[in-house]
Amino acid sequence: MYRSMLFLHWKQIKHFLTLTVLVSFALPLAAVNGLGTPAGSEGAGVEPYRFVTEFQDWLFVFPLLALAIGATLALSAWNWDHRMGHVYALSLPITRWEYTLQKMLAGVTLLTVPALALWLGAHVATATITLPEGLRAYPDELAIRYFFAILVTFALFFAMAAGTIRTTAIVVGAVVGVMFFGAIANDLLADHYAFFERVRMVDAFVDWMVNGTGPFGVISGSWSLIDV
Amino acid sequence: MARFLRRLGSSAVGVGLGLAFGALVPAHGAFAHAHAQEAPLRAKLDSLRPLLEDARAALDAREARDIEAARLAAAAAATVDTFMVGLVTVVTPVEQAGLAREIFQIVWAEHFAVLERSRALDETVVSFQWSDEPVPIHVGSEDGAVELGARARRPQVEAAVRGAIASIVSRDLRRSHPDLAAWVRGDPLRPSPLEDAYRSVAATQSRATRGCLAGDIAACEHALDLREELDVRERLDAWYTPDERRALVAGWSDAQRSRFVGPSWDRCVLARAYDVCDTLLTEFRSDSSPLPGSVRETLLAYAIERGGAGAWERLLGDPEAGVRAALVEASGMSITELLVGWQTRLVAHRPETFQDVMPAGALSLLWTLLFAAFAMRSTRWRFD
Amino acid sequence: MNNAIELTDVAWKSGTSFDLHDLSLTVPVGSIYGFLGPNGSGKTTTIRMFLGMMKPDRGRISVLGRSVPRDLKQILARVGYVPERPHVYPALTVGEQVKVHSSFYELWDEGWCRELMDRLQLDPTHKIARMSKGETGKLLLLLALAQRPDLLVLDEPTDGLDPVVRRDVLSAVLDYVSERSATVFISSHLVHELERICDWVGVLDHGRLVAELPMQRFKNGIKRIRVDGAPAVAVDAPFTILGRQRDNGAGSLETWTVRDWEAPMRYYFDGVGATVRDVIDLDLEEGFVELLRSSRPRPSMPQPKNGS
Repeated sequence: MYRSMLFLHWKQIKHFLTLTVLVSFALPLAAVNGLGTPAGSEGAGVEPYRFVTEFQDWLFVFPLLALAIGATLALSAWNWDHRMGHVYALSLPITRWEYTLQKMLAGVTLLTVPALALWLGAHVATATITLPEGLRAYPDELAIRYFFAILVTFALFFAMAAGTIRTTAIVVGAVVGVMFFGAIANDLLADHYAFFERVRMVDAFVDWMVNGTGPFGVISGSWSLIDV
Repeated sequence: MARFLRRLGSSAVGVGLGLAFGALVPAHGAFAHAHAQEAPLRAKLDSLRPLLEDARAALDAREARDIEAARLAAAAAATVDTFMVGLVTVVTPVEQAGLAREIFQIVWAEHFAVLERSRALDETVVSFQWSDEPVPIHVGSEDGAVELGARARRPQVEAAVRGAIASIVSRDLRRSHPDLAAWVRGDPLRPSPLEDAYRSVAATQSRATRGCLAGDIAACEHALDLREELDVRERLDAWYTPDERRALVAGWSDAQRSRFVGPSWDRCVLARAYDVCDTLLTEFRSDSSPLPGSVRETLLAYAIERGGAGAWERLLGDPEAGVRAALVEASGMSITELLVGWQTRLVAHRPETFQDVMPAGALSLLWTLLFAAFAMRSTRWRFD
Repeated sequence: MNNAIELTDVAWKSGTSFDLHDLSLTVPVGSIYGFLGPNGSGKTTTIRMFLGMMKPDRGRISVLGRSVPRDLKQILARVGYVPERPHVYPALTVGEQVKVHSSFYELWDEGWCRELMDRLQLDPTHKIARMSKGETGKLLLLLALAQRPDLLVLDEPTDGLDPVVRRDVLSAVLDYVSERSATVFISSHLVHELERICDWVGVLDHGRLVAELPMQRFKNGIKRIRVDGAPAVAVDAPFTILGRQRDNGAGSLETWTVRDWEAPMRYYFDGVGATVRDVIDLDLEEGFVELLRSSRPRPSMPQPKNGS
């Protein structure tokens, strides 16, 4: 059953997945392109600090790509079911939670592929350059963060897509509504209470979501392949 | 009405000059003749230019005075409050006075409490407005302004206040101790984060910085360019290995290469004539020090912090003192003690690159399991 | 287990179109049960109820002797279902779809599947997105049959198919039934088709089961009877009167449409002083239409204006 789920998902997503594999592999190579020409050659390399700072230009691409891959994999997992009204799944001799679990495991299997591609690309990228003393490369750590970022995004969107459209609309609407009206309420309260001037609830909520213990905490850390 | 008259006046001047030009322009049929008389005509034209510029300047000055008068009138109509926090004089609309006072007090206590005197602050007024509709507040041209829209967040406002005060205070440094100001090149009372400073030190290709990170305090002295008694070549040697010096020259831009050094560059980089590299660096690069001002200001900030009350005044006390001496005077410590403390703190602020990835990953795994549970508990699908 | 499917007092409110009202239905084991009803009467909803896809507001449902929804997993393992709308994956080929489907059924018969594929002339390399409606219908039937179900549920299986394909589909069903003694539940609005193969019939109209009886009785039991001198009210009639209509310009002659008719019942009319002039057989479709007409509330006749 799991293999069938994997096969079905693969059929849906194979073109997109192939593209993400190529991009994930190429991204570290593109990011270090031109850096680290071996010392002693005519070009004499790039100042080491540029290793760190120039790579910063690429930092936003990795988490963005991870989010895009996770979301697309999750929504595509349920795409056919929604289009066919879930009749097929409901007619199978399998409980709903087993069906969902198998589907999720299939999706998790597929998302490891771009993560592996990035891991490979990061190792190849760091092998092609000479790092100056004082700097080191973090290919394994980058790939691990990338994997977890894709995983948690996939899980969130998968859970939303597994529900009915109405449930999804309620959840998304509630979050957006809380943030929107929370911001307005905070502004109104801030006119009268200094506490709300210091503490912005919506900012605190967003901060929790992407930093610390929130679901996207893994995305907010360092994404630098090369650093001190 | 005044504006209309000004415009009319400028038009009249323009018309007059145009007629003057018109009188000078030869008739169409006599173009050839006029062409032959070009030089004297040009001379006459040139003589009229100052007249035009004077007229324009007079109009601009009149307009500026009118604007200033309008500002003063508005300021007189606006209700503002002026108060002092620490050494800072603040002027702000009355309705924001309480908030402004609170913010300035917090910022002063956190970052500027060590200051006991500041000439720059004595002669400066800082205007503060946190509003989408700021009112004109009369302050002098040298004074500071903190004006942010209502959507700005509190931390942003505090950072802006800190920046304004630090910027004003740094005038004291430039005036009282130009050598120190030139050495630090930044705001000592608003230093860069130590994580960035660590990156700078660790990523710089220099034997001095490597030694400094490894704990060699003498190397730190060199890296921070505190050995003022050394000449340029001695410093270069302390900072960089021969290959590193060659790499510095090799990293010069094409424009610099072609414009200044030509064949010498080739001898240094391609032929590895290290003495030529040294000559190039000595003659054509005034400052090849390995560490930027953003690192130096962290040392200065550390010295002030360790010196406590009066440290800033001691720092600026003797303009003839060198940078080293000024740091020692400000901190009340020997240079070695100061550098040891600074180096220890710097190393302790090594960026935690990816050190959080496993805990963050474990947390994201928990979130994944939670979302999976939601998915499996999801209510029945509907036939939409 | 006498009944393959049992619904008892099942009710469901949709809130928009129709409701199911106290639906009680039984499908004997081994029968071919035709579930008739006009479009929108609730046939598909009923099927979804006993297959556990929708939850009734009240009532009890059992399929193959097991309770729905408690034993749904075990039930569905023994049920082959051909839905009204195809639920196959367009991007797959026939072979791939078969392989995916087979992974869910322990009783899948690979040899039987290949036989069916030959018989139904399905090419395993053919992409489903490019298949005609008829081919898709055959594929759905193959998927349902190859898992060797004890209960085959077909929802409008031949709707929109050409006669050749319809014949192939129905003959495959009949062959399976005769080989395996499975129960078949077919819902359709194509009355003449069910007439040939079903041995039980249930008629649904606006969420109510208006008739449930053996097919022969249904076919033979609906008649049009031309009666002369019939009483105004038929007391204690042994048959069910579906409708009465006076013949135009024919004196006391009336045409009665009745259900559950048997030949000896003509003597009833002797007893009430009437005479049976003619007994006309109706085919299933005509009988179905009359049955529906009689089960629906008649619109009130417009009152004549004064003076007309």
